[in-house]
Parts: sequence; C-alpha cells; structure tokens
Amino acid sequence: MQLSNLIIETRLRNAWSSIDLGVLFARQFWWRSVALYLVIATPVFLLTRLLTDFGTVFPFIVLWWCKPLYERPILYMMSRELFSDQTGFLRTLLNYRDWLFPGTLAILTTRRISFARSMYAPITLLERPTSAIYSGRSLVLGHKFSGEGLWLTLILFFVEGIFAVSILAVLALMFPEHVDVALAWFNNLERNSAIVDFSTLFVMAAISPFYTAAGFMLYISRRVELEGWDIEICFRDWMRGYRRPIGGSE
Amino acid sequence: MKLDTVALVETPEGTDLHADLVGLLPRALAYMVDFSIRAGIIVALWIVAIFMGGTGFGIFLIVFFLLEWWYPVYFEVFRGGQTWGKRVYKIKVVSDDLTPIRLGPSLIRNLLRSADFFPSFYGVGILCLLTTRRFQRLGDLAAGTIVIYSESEVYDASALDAIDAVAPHYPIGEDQQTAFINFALNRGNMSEERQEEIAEIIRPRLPLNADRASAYVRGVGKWLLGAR
Repeated sequence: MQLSNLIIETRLRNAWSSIDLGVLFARQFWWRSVALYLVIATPVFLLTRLLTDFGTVFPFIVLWWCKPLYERPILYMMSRELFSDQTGFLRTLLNYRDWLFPGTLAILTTRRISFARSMYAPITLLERPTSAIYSGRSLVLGHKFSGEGLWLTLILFFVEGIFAVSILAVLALMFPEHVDVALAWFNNLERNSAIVDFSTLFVMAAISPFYTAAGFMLYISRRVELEGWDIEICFRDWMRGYRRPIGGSE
Repeated sequence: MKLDTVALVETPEGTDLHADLVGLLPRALAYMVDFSIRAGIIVALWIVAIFMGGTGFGIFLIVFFLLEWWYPVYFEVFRGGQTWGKRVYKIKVVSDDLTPIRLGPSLIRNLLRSADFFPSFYGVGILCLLTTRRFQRLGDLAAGTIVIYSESEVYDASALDAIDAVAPHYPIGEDQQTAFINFALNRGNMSEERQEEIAEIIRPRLPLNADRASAYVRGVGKWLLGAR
C-alpha cells in the first residue's frame, strides 16, 4: 500500500462528498465492473433456475440475496486500481482466490443484513478480520458514516427501480404496438419470471459499480481520517527533493 | 490529475476559486424534503378548498401553480440558492463560475425539470447526475449552474487547550497549512506512534532545536488556527 500511488485526491471529506467521489471513481471503471458483475451473477441466475422449483418469487430472492457476492470482484478490482495497480477484467478473474473465498460465508449470512453493506464490505474483503475483530473494526469505521451508508443503500435501491420503470416507459413510448407483449410478461409471471429476473439483473449490474465504489470511498475516507493519510501524503510531497540548507536552520 | 469532486474557477485576477460539487444523494434527499413541504401545503389547501367551494379551488389552483413552478426559483434567486431542503443538507445552487444564480438561469433550470423527470421519477436527471463531470442534470447543463456544498468546514480548536502554540519559523503554503491544522486537531484520534511517524517525515524542515517532531507540528497547527 503506497499512498503516493493513490488515484484520488486525499483530503478530509464528509460522508456525502465521499459518496460523490465514489460516483466519479465508479465511472472510471464502469464497463469492467458491469462485466465482472454479470460474469458472477449469471451463473447464480442459472442455478436459481435449474435447482429451484419453488414458483416465481423464490428464485429472485436468492438472486437478490447473493448481491454482495457479485460485488466482490468489483471491489477487489477497485481496491487495486485505487493504488494505480492495473487490474483488468481477466486479471481480476484469474485472481479469483483473492476475492471469491475470504469471508464469503459471512457476507452472505450475518453481514448481508447490514443496511450500510457496501461500506462494511471492504473490511471483510481487504482486512480479512476474525469475527471478533470485525465487530470492533466496523464500529470504529462505521460509527460516523453509517447513517449516510444507509441512505446510499436505500436511494440506490430506489434508483434501480426508477431505471427499470424508466426503461420500460421509454420502450413503451418508442414501440407502442409492443406494449401489450411486454405487459403480458408481467401478467403471466409464472411463465416469464426468468426473463424478468434476467432483465432485472442488468439494471442491478448497471447500478452496482456506483454502489460498490461509493461504499468503498466511505471506507477509504474513514481510513484517511483515522490514519492521517492526507497529512502523510502532503508532508511527503512537501519534502520531495528538499534538502536542509547547509549551515543549519533557516 | 487525481480524481476529485472539486469545481475550479480561474478568475481574471489570477486567483483560483474552488468549491465542492454535490452529487446525487444530498440532492435527492433535499428534493424529498422540498417535495414533502410542497405536498403538505397542497394537501392542507385542498382540504380548505373543499370547504370553500369555487373560490377556494381558484385560489388552490393558483397556489398550486406557484408552488410547482416558482417555489425553487424564488429560493434560488432571493434566498441565496437554497430551498428549505437544500438548507437542511447544506448545499446550494450557483452559476458554474461560482457567482450567485440569477433569475434567467434559475427559470431555465427549473422549467427543464420536466425534461429531467422524463420518463419517470427523474430517470434522465439521475442518469445525468451519475454521468456528467460536474454532477449536472439537464436543467443545470442548459442553465450553466452547479450545486455545491455551502459550508466550508469550521475548525473546533477547543480540543487544543493543552497545546502550546508555536510560531512557524518560515512561511508555509496553503496545502501544508491544512495538513498542519489537521495534524493538530487529530480528528482520527491517531496513536502517539502514528503521529510521531508522520511528523518525522518533515524532520529536515524542522528547526534543529525541535525536540519532538509531533509536538512541534501540533504547536504550529494551533498557531495557524489563530492561537498566539
């Protein structure tokens, strides 16, 4: 971890500003993130279709419940890109051992229920703490920004819905003669829930880079503050190339 | 160029103005506050109008029109760019050269709300906020306006009572001043070792007689905050 390689401007930020920075950050890696998300989520989708025979709602709940899993490769990739460590799509997948296993059970069970999930996810993935250490760390890192982390989850959840409805509305406006066909999907959910689920997956994938990066930046902002990254970087820049004048103090 | 959410404006005098841009979340929350206020007033008036009959509905429709189209404009132009919701979240609308917003741009950005609302629940507006460089929705792009955080940080120096202020022995640049001050305030509650480690970085720049680097940096930080 070399602070001079950071690709973000480190200064003390409030929670909102950290989330804003996360949006900028996500944009930078949006395509790659979406691809990574779908690579992990599509097999899960197929599994829910092949292995479950419990109507229309249950497969979707499983798909939705596993969201933290799909966000992991994104977070892994972003955590390395943050320090200018080029981590492309293939390289992320090849390093699957680093992000697929550590703490997976925890993020899919107890830590799934957190409302500020994306802010705590980096603790599990990057610090790999035992559960005792985890609760201490999440308290230290979380107590200040957890309210905003909750709003982040809530608002981006609504944004997913808004985008889904918006896309349908635009399609309905552009292809009015096919509206009935589209509505028929929803009228006959038993038969078409697979299509609906899979389409929803794409909207989730489009939003996930923003959610993951914003949570990651909340986490990073807390570490900047707790560990004085901003001061260290500023002092190192200030000292670059400086030598004390011969003959004592100025 | 490092990623940052700052809006930089170079003035003809050669000084740089900067402000922190506001993204989707605080703006959405501020909007919801404003929306609740407007909805509350409209519902109350509606009830009154029911009892008043024809005239009541006439007044109701006029107020509805004013609230829908002039509420944000009034606050942006005459109340420093802040509706009530924006005041709650400490954000405000300004022109993209950081001057106060005028009537024309304010009208444009609020009339174009309908474009941002398309096709449902601000779908386009949200998409623009997530993708444009300075977090602008269509109305902002057309009017040349941005939304910034309205409050710069106020330092609370009361925690530094036990520290002796030290006058720096030569001029310090703006960035370094911020670092000295943040070091002194120690908001992250860093351990003594970590503080010493950071302060030792600039050891060559400290006076030769400075005993402990951290004490010196902390003292200068307090001095920069105005203590003498």
